[in-house]
Amino acid sequence: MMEHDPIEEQAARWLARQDAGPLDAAAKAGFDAWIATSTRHRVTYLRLEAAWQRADQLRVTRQAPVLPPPRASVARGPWRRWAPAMAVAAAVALVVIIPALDDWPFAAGQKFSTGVGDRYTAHLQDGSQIELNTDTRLRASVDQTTREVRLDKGEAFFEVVHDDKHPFVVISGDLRIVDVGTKFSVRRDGDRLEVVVAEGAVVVEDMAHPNDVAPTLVTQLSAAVAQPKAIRKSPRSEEQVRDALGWRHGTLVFTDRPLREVAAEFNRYNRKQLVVPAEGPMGDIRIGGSFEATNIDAFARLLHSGFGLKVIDDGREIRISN
Amino acid sequence: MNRSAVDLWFVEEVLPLEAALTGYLRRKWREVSEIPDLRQEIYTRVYEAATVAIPEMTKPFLFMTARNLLIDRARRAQVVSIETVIDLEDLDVADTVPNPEQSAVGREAMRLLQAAINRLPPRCREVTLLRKVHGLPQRDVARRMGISESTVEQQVAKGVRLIADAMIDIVPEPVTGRFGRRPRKVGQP
Repeated sequence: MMEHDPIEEQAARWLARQDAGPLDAAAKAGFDAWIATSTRHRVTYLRLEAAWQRADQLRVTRQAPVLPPPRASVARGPWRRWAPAMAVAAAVALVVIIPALDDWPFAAGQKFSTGVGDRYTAHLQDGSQIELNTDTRLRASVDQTTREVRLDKGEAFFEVVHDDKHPFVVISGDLRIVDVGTKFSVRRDGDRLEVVVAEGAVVVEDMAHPNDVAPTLVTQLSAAVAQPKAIRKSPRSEEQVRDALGWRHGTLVFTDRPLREVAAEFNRYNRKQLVVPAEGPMGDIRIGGSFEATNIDAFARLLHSGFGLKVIDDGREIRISN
Repeated sequence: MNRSAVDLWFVEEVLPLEAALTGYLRRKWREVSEIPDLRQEIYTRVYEAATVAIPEMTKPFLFMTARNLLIDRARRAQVVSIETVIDLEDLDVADTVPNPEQSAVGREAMRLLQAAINRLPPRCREVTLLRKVHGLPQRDVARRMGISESTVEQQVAKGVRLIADAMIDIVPEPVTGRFGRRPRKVGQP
C-alpha cells in the first residue's frame, strides 16, 4: 500500500517527467528550486531515482517478466482466438505424397522476403497468412489446386485456413511439413529445421530418407527439430510456445540461455553484430528476459551495466570482453 | 540538479541498507504507518550530517541516527516507559540487523524485484515493463498501449513509488534478539 506523502508524490512526478525526456529550461529551474527547498526533498528524490534505475537491471536478469503483446495486436492477433482452440483435440494431419520435383511448381509462385530486422505478413489468396521473420525468403504457390510454400531461409509463422482437399505443405530442403488447419512456425538454419506447433498438428517428413525416418506427427504445444535422418519431438508449454513466437511482436524472450546463443539470436535481427569470444566462460553467462530484437545497442549497454563486461562498439561490430 | 559526493554516498551506501533499516524500525516502532516518515527523516538527518563530513562507517552511523530519532520521538510522545528507552540504548545494532549482503543480492534481489513488479496494478505494470524491460521511451510506450503520454507519465510516477517501497520487502524476517528476547516496542504502554 502506498503511504500518503506529499513530498514523495512530488518527487515521483518530477522523476516521471524527466523519465519522459530532458526538462526545458523553465522546468529545470523549477526542479532545481524544488530540490533546493529542503534536504528531505533531495533524499526522497534520490531514493526513488535509485529504485527506478535499479529496475533497469530487469533487462538482464534470469527471469524478467514476459511482456504482454502490444494491445493493437492482441485485439486482432490470433492469440486470443487460440486459447479456446488449445483445449480441443489436435486435428490429425494427412500425409500427402508430393512429387519431389525440385523447383516445380514454384516457378509460377509468389516470392516474399524480408531484410535483416524486418517482418512482413503475406496474405495468400486462400485466406491463409504467413508472417515472415527477419532475413527470410520463401516462395508460395497457392491456387485452387495447390497449396505449397518453399522456405528457402529464415523463419515464418503460418496460420492456415483448413481445406480438406488441399493440404497446406511447407517444404524446406529435404524436409516437408504437411498440415491441416494449423498454426505453426518453421525456422530454417541450413539443413536444420525447427517446427513449433501452436495449434492443430502437422506431419514432418524427411523426403530424402523415407526409409530411415518415419513421418512424425507433431501436435499442438510441441516442437520438432528435424535434421537429415533425424526428427526429434519434444513438448512445449503454452508459455514456451508464446516465447518462441515472441518475434511476431518484435520481442526476443530468453530463459536461462547462454550468452553465445543469445548473441547469435540478436545477430539475426541486426546488421551490427555482437561478437562474443568463442572460447572461455563468457559465452556461458546465462541470460534471461524479454528484449527488443532490433535494439542491440541497449542489450550491449546492459551487458556492461548488468554484468560489468567491456563493450567496444565500432559501428559495425560490438565486441564483448572482460 | 548537480550531483555531489554526498549524493553518491547516499545512493551507494545508505540506500542499500533500507531493507535492514526498515526491519529495525518495524521491530522498534509500533505505529507501522509512521515508518515511512521515520525513514525519510532518518535519511534527511544522515544526509545533512554527511554534508559536513561523510561518515567512515555508514551502517553504524545510520542505525545510531535511527535510534536517536526514535528516542526523540518517544520522548515527545511521552507515553513511553524508561525501560523501553533503555532497551533502545541497549541495542547492539550489528548483532540484530541482517547485512544487506545476507538478505538479497544480485539475481535473487532481481527475482524479488520482478515479483514486486508483477504485483503492480495491471496498467502500471505494463508501463513499467515496457519502459524498464524493453527500454522503450515513454512516448513509444504511449503509442504502443494506445494511451496518452501524460497517462504514461502518471503511471511511471506511481510505479516509481511502488517499486521503491517493494524493495524494502527484499529482506528476510528480521532476526530477533540474540538471547531469544523479543525487543519491546517504543510506544507500547
